[in-house]
Amino acid sequence: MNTGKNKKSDAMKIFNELLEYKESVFRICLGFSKDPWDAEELTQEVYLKVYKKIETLKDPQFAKPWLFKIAKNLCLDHRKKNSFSNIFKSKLNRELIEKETPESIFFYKEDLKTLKKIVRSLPKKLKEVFILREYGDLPYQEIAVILGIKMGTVMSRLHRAREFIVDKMREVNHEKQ
Amino acid sequence: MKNNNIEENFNTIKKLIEKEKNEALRIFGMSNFNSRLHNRITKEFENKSFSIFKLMKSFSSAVLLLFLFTAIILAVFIIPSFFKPKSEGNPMEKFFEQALFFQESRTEKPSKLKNDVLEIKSEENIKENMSNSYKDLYISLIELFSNFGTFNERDYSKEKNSINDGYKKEFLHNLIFRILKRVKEG
Repeated sequence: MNTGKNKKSDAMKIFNELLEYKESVFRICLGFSKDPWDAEELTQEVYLKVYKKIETLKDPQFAKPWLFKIAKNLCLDHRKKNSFSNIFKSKLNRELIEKETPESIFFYKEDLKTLKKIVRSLPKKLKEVFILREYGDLPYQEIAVILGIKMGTVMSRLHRAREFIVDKMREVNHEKQ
Repeated sequence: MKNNNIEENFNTIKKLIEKEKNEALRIFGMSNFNSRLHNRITKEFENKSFSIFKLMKSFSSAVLLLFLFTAIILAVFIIPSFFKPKSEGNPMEKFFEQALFFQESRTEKPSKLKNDVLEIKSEENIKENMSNSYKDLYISLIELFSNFGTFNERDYSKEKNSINDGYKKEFLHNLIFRILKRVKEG
């Protein structure tokens, strides 16, 4: 009886510890989704899943990579759902970029749109490495643990992803000119 | 050389990503993430207990339905089979058994049918044109057929009035054919 209670309180402790990484999870979700609102919703989904499965986590040492793995898988499986909260969207305006000039906002939006499109078009293996590194700011070693690959593979995939993105961006800019 | 070029070009993209992240994090900071998550977890658990209750409810209805279905099956198909004779045997044997039964019981039945049959027996043309064995079989068949319920009173009187030389053979054949068909179908 007591063991069950202890197990639950341990699980809650780990869950609260994992909540500290919510910004990293959010950034990863941002890499996979089209905007911050989708990313926030995805982050909620990630933590809900973690809450449900927390008792299945065998080794608390691997809680962090386990969390990022869940985030990565959930984002990859994610398909646009109508249930995504629109109320939240309406509450938060895009005031953050309103400080800049309308022209710079326009170019920023355009570039970001293009980048998002290119990142989405990356092959799955390159995309997950790229997002975990560039959006999640995770070290190579951690990425290797999450994906179950060697560190060298992480580095080479990251290089290929960057190359792909640079080439595509260049192509798009060339077409615009 | 090419690698350096990629890194240089990627720096612009990296800046774009950094800007996107910073702005997104500002939005995230304003979103009351923890309280929303807490509400969702609470709601999820309420739903979970509710769904277990619903599951139990639907399970008991399923059991009840299964019970009703079994009862209907038993009532319609299985129970009546206990009241049926165990072996129905050969259809021809059954036919002759019924004929025999009718033959034995017909003298005890003071019905209109019996009187009619006796009338037929007394008809002159039957006596003249039929041998005794045919006559008996003929009358038995009419009685038996009447007993089956398909040979109504009107048909019966019609047959009675129109019995003559040409008709009786055809009638007898027809009757036997119909009876055998009925026995086969039955």
